[in-house]
Amino acid sequence: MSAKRGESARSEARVDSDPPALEALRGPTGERLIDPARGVLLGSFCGACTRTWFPQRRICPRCYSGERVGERALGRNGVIYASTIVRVPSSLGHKPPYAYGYVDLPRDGVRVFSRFSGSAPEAFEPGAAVEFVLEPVASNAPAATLAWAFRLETLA
Amino acid sequence: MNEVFIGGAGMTPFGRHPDRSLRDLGREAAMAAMRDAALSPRAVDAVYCGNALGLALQGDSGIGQAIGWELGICAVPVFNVSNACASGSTALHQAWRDISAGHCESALVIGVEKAAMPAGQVLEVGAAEFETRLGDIFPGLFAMVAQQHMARYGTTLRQMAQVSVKNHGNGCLNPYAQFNRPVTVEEVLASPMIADPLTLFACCPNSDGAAAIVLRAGRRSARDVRVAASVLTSGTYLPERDFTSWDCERRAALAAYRDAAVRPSEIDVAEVHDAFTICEIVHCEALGFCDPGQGGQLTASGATAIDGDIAVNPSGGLQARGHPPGASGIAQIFEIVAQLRGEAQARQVRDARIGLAQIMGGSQASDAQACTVHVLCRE
Repeated sequence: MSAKRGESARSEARVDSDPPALEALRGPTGERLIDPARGVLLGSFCGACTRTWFPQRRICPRCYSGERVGERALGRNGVIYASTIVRVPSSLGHKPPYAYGYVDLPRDGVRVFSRFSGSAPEAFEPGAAVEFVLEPVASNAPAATLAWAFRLETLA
Repeated sequence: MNEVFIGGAGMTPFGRHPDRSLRDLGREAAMAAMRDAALSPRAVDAVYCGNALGLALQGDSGIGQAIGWELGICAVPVFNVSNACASGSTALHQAWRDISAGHCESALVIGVEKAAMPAGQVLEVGAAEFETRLGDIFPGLFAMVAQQHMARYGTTLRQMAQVSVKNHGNGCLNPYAQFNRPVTVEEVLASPMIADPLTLFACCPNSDGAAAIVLRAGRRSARDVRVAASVLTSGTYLPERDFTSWDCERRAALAAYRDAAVRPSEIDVAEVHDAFTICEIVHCEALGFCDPGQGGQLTASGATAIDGDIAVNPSGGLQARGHPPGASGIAQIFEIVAQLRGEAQARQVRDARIGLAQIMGGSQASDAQACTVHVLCRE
């Protein structure tokens, strides 16, 4: 009992001194997109047809199974399929220039929308090998959210 | 199935109408269409109103009923249709289905939108989507379509710019167009970069405006234009999707040519969804005006000009006529009707007999949500 109280006091102390944890970005129906503790993207795996999806699905769109669809951590390594560099502020106030695009995750057979970071925006050409990182995204509303980016594998 | 004819068409000038409401713009376009068809509001059996953003931007819903109220149209079925940029054309498709099936004799189809933003303000839609929260902007996906098309087929920045040059030139001939100023390839390429490789003049504006048509069962007048095909599809959202074309558009085009019993080579004039310059190139390929990958060369050859083999966007397209999303699909029909009747004045395509209109709407997992293709014939 006293040990538990001690732990609780420690965690409160940490909350006081550290910045509050960012809220993780969520998907279209409120599902988790990332697991901050493990540092991975979360998709769905259909046990009936063995297909993986991102973002998470309640019903497998290939075999229509509902019961056997569950959360799955996606691979961290991918290849850029397509990319662009935004040169104007977005409606939510993201500051230009920034690069984003679609990353294919070969192990899972999914394509993921992602920001690119860690290098100049021009560095993210299709075909480049990239690796997942947790990263906050800053815009007007809300102030900051924990999301993700992919960066060039050579830097990771 | 009843044969369906367009008896009348009308539209407001597209552009900025800050002092006018959705119902005000809609009434003007609808009155013009009914006058053109010599149809009394009393004879309208049903109303179909396409609008994409009214609820989000103006807090307006039930716009079809509001416009009907303005016109004295009451008691009849009213359908409010929302399908992003394909809202107006989806309203037309729904009306076509109902008249074909004998549910009604005459329909008023309206497309209306107020999407022009005050200077310096960005149109805010889809803020709840995680892609938008990560910084996705609307031109971004089409920038990637351009990137993929250039890499795969060798399409050039100059070829894409020529779409904008042609359409702005055509817009100078259209009294309803938002922009009446020509642009050069150099101006398009030197305009501010929005999302690499798309510059400002590679993108259509967000506009205000309305367009309307009267649809009827059977021919009533020699000026009537027959709807030979009306097709609506949705996306497949496959993760391995190739960005250089849209499967929903190919399927819509194939079905439309089959239903109309015409070949792509028989199309004299087309209005296509040139929201971004690369889009017109991709649509020319999907609609069979050239082989896949040849859309850039087709544009550069001059074949898509008003006096070319296949006139594409003689109205100026979204690029120059302007783009009120819910209204553009009906404005395309307005243009094809004018062309097939020989009433398009300075922008008339010579001896146009068969026309086509194509528009897409919405975005879902990098695929389009909706695509419509209509084939219209003068007999």
